[in-house]
Amino acid sequence: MTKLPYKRLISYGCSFTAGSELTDHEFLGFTEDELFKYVKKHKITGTYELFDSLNVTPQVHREVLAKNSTKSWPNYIGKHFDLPVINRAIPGSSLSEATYNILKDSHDGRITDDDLVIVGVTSPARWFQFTDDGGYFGGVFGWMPESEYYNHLLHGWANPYNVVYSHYKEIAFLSNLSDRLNQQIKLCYTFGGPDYIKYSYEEELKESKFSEFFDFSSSIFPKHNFIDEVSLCELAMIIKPETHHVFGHPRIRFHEQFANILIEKMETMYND
Amino acid sequence: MTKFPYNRIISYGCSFTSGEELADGLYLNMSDAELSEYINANKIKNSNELFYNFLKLDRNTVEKIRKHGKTLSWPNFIAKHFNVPLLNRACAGASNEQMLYYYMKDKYEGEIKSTDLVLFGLTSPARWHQFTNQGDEIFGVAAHPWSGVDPEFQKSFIDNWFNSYNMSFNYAKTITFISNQSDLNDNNIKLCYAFITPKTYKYSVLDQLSDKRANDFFEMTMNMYPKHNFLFDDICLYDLTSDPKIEGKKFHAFGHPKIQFHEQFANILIEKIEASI
Repeated sequence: MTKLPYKRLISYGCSFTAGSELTDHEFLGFTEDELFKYVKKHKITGTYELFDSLNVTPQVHREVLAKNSTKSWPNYIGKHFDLPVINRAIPGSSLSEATYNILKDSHDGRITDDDLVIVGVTSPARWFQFTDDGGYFGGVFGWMPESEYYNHLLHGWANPYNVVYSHYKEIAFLSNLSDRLNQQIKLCYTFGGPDYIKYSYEEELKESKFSEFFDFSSSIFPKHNFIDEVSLCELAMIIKPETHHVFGHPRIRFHEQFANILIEKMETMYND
Repeated sequence: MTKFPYNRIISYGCSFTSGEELADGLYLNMSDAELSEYINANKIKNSNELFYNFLKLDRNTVEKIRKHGKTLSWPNFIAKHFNVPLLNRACAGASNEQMLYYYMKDKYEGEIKSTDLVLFGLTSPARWHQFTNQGDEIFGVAAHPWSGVDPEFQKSFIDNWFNSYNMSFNYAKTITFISNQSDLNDNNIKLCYAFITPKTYKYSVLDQLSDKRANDFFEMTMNMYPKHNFLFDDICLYDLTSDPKIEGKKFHAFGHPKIQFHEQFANILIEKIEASI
């Protein structure tokens, strides 16, 4: 095992890094099969709805989230390199939110020079902003609460041009920040790899205007701070009960497989 | 004069860098006083209204006026001093985000060379930039109408996005991005505040900062971005007009500083550029 020049690993990302669903059934006292049946029967569309329907208290929900965060892929990396892990990933969050949390944690002294920061890059069609009282508003387009503003965002902002440009700019921001911090921040794809956007906007890319814009946008981010190009979701592409939990998150063996790919790359990276 | 290690200057900015209003009187064959009187008498709110609605100018003429303004603003004095050509890519109403987009696009298209000095005249955080579903740009100042946009759409963003949190965080993030680009390119990008400094900006959102949480957040964001690529960070072009010793009219009809302030601003920058090289 290579000795990394860090004392701690701090991870940021969305539900794929937060380990969403990994231990939910245990807390709820269900088998996975029972949980699938329950969700199907009650036509439940997400974790919060499920926990509400079972009258799970917010305290228990927080405990589930905390437990999940100790099971996901960064934990395998931490264990392999013998580093404690602080998993700061938030289900439903965007890459912009991860950037904000890194900047804020850095400002507050919660990230030090001895920390390796790993960001699990999520899918691009997400939003993050502050509310007037300093709270947060955002999430995945298609899954945010209905409002007039949300409709304006969805129909007037969430088009391929803004989504693609903002996503690549965000990656570039993090990569540039890493360069300023002696490559302390490493990136990997968790939800959507390099070809994900191309696949998502396959139709739009047939238009030369968007295709040219796409080429420009994808040119702005450097790749050298990525550990690898593989993404966690690619390891289990087709969502089915044998490979995924009820709301579509990959089962734990894919977290381990993903971590092992990253570990192998990191072994080479830090040996050099 | 110090030997200048660049072959050209490229500037990005808002109306304060694009020289908005500097050439209007020359093209319209009116003195500044006559133009102001005409604008006041007709209660005209902005240049577009003046050019298109009242004077019925065609697009080509308006473009010529704006192009001429670009040859008069502060970056021109700097280019002249160092005897190099200038490419002024500033655009009236632009946000810092938009300047960054133009810079990245120009870089991608090979327009920017390693022998270019790039100057960013930063503007106010209260601006918007995005793309339409067809890939065209929407941009503008928060309080003024954005062209080609349903007013309801703009209002929605004014009501829900334009608070001190979003403005200051995005401001700091964009400046950080630009500064990092400079670090990656031999520090060939230099920044200055053209329209507003953080101090003046703070004053403009002071009512929102009476809340401790908002104030702490504001201070965090203003301390967040790197300052080492700034030519100086305590004064902007607009600030120069506040000297009480200056007599006479300081602004054109729509509030842009007159040419002497551009020259004065450029002279301060020239001194800093010479010291840095």
